[in-house]
Amino acid sequence: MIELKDITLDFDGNKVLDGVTMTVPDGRAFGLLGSNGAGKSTILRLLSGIYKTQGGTLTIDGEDVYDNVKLKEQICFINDETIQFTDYTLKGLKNYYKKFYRTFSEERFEKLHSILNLPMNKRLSTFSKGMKRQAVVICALACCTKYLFLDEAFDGLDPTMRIIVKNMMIDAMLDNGATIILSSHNLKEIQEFCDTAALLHNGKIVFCRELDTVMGNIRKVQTSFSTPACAEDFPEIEILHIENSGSVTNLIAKGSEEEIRAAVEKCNPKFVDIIPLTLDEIFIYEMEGLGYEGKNL
Amino acid sequence: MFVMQLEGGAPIYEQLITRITELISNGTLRENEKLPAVREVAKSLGVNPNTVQKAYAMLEQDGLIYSIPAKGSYVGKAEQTEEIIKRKILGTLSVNISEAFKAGVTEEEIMLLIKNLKEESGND
Repeated sequence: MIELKDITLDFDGNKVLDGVTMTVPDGRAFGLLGSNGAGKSTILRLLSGIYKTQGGTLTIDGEDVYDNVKLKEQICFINDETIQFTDYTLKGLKNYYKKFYRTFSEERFEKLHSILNLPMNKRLSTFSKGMKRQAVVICALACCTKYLFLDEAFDGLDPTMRIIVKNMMIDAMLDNGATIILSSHNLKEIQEFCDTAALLHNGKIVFCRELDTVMGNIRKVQTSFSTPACAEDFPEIEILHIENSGSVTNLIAKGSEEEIRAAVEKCNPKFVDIIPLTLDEIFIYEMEGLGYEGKNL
Repeated sequence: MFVMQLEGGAPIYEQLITRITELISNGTLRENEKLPAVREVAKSLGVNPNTVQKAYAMLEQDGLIYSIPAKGSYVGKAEQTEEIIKRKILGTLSVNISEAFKAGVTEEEIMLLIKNLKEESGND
């Protein structure tokens, strides 16, 4: 289990993380969402023991990660940059991982490599961006670690490779009970693949919940009243957004479908349509509430 | 395997439950038929295995499927699944009928609709 309590991190006077508290139970696929510069990569680097904590506590299975070689053997981190490996050949890279991770599976590596057929003896600096990423990903997936952290998980991977990575993660979860944390800007992929997610903004957690609860608790409502409506007309529910256009009123509201329907029907609507939001839309509305929005540009 | 298109914001386990219930209801999945393994479903849809497990667990709770440890999940007995699906449909129907009443549809109009539907299916 991964536990972060009140984690604060400062880079040259800039607060990168500000009181982050979150728990990732074992066997989950956890999605880290957030605006650019929100602190997603920083959290993954802290979890991998690359950065040292400053304020607060961070433990994995009850232990500190930083300088903890034994624990780090159970953690594999795929950085969003591959620059540190450009002098390696794929063969060299594989040996590097194999040396560090006792759980490295030659069989799994071969299986992945047979699909991609990347050259083993050429330097990674001669690879395309996508090929470099593939090389690092197959080495990491072959490590069979209990914890797998991927920064910008599907970035630079083609659709086939994305399916391969997802399938390998599914195997890792079912066979090794692996816990996976991934950050991505592709919210559809997070929505489909993760069971839990945290949304970060300016180094703070906006929410950290099971996705089914997140998705189940915010809805888009299209309705119509004889006169334009305002948020105060629905005191029973939290209205995130309201917009009247002609005779139609559009709402974004928090609550279950029943609660929202009951609150809207009190005002004698001509009709009520309630549609669940996609994670993309939730992201945009939550961020709008924090003053981070693009629609006025 | 379940052929389905994941869409919109409805929780994926709910979409799975709806699809599997449909397949049992229309007879594609027959009684005692083995459901695809969690791993296969997760891979074919690109979703989290925990989500598939959750859908299976809820279908089992409803009595539509049963599971045998270390073997897998199977479709429940026809008489039982038919009864459960009937109850589910009646639930949806009652919501639709009360909406219809609210929109001003009369009892007579609904009865006429039922009569027409019965005649149509009787002609088949």
